[in-house]
Amino acid sequence: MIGVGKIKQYGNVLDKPLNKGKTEVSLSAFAFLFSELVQYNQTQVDNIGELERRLEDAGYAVGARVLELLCHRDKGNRRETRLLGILSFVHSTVWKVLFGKVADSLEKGTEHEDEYMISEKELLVNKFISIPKDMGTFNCGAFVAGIVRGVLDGAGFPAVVTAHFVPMEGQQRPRTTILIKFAEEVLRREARLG
Amino acid sequence: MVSFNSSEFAKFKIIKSFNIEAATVIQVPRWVFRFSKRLLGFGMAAIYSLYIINKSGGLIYYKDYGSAGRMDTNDTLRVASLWHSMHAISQQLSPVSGCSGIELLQADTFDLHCFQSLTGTKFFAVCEPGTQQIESLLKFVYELYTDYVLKNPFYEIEMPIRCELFDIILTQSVQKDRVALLGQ
Repeated sequence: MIGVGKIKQYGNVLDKPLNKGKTEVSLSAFAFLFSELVQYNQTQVDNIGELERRLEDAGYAVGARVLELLCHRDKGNRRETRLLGILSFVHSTVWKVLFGKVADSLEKGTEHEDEYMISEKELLVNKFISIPKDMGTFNCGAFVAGIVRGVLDGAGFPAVVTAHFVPMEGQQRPRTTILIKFAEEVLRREARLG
Repeated sequence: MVSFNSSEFAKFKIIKSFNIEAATVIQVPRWVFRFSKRLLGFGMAAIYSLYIINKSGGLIYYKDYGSAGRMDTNDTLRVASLWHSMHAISQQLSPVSGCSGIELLQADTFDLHCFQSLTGTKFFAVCEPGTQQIESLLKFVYELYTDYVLKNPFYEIEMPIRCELFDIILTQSVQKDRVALLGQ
C-alpha cells in the first residue's frame, strides 16, 4: 500500500480528526459495489416496489450519517432549521461531498406547497446502469432518494422522497428527478416561523 | 409510494439551477472523439460487423454496419461458434509456445480482427481489407463493455447483452459514416 507508513493509526474512531482527508474514491470501485448492492437486494425481494424500498433504506442510513458529519465538519455543530436552508444544504453541500458537484437544479412545485424536486441530468449512481424494459419505471436513484430522506429526517424535516425518470425533449436519456414531499407538520412549523 | 406522471413535473418552478443546457445527456468522453478522428485519419475505415462472444463460444452481441456483409441471425451464430473453435484450435496448432490465438484473418474480401480479453471473452470485427486501427477499436469496445455491461446490475454474465447505454454509446462512437461525430 502506498504511504502506509505515513498514516497515523487511531485505536478509537473518536480520536480521528474530522477534516476531509482524501475525498475521492474510484468510480469503478463504487460502480461495482453499487451494482452488487442492487443485485443482492434483487435476490431478497419479490417485486420492484420492495426493491425500491430496500435501496431507499440503504440510502437512508448513509443520509443520516452524512448529515451528522457535515453539520459537525462544515457548520460548527449547527444545522439548518428552515425549509429552504436545509434544501439548499442538500442540493449544494451534501451533493458536493457525495458526487463532487452541486445538483443541476432545485425546484419548487407550483401547485403543491409541500413539493420540491432536485434534478440531475446524469445521476452518478445511474452512470453505467441500463434499466431493462420489463422493470418499467424503476430507478436506482431510489438509493439517492433514501440519502436525501435520511438527511431531511435527521434534520427534523420528515418527508417522502422518491426518484423518477423524466424524459427530456430532444435527448436520448431521461434525467433523474428526486421528488421531495414534506410532511404536514413541517409546513405548519415553517408557516409559524414566518 | 407517491406516484407521478411525467407531465406533473412541468408544474415546478426553479429555485436554483446549474448548467442546464440542451447538451446531450450522455457525456461521451473527449478521447472518444479523438479516437474516432484518428480512425478516420487512416483512410475510409469501413467496418462491416462487430461480434462479442462469451468464453464458451456463444454470441452475446452482434451489430452490423451498413449493407455490406450483412448476415441473418443463424449465420452470425455460426460465425461466432466457428470462430471460437478456430481460435482454440489455432492456439493448439501454433508452432510457438504461449500463443494466444488468431488475431487477424485476412481474406480476399474482408479482414477479421480479434481481441481476446483476459477472461476469455472475445471481441471481433469484420471489416474491409486493409482497414487499420481495428485493434484499438476492439480495445475501446472492450472498455465500453467493462463499463456499461459489467457494471450494470441487471446484466447476467455470459448472457446476451441487452444494455441500452452500451448500445447508445457504441453507436455514438463507432459509426460507419462518422460525419456526425466529426462535426463535434
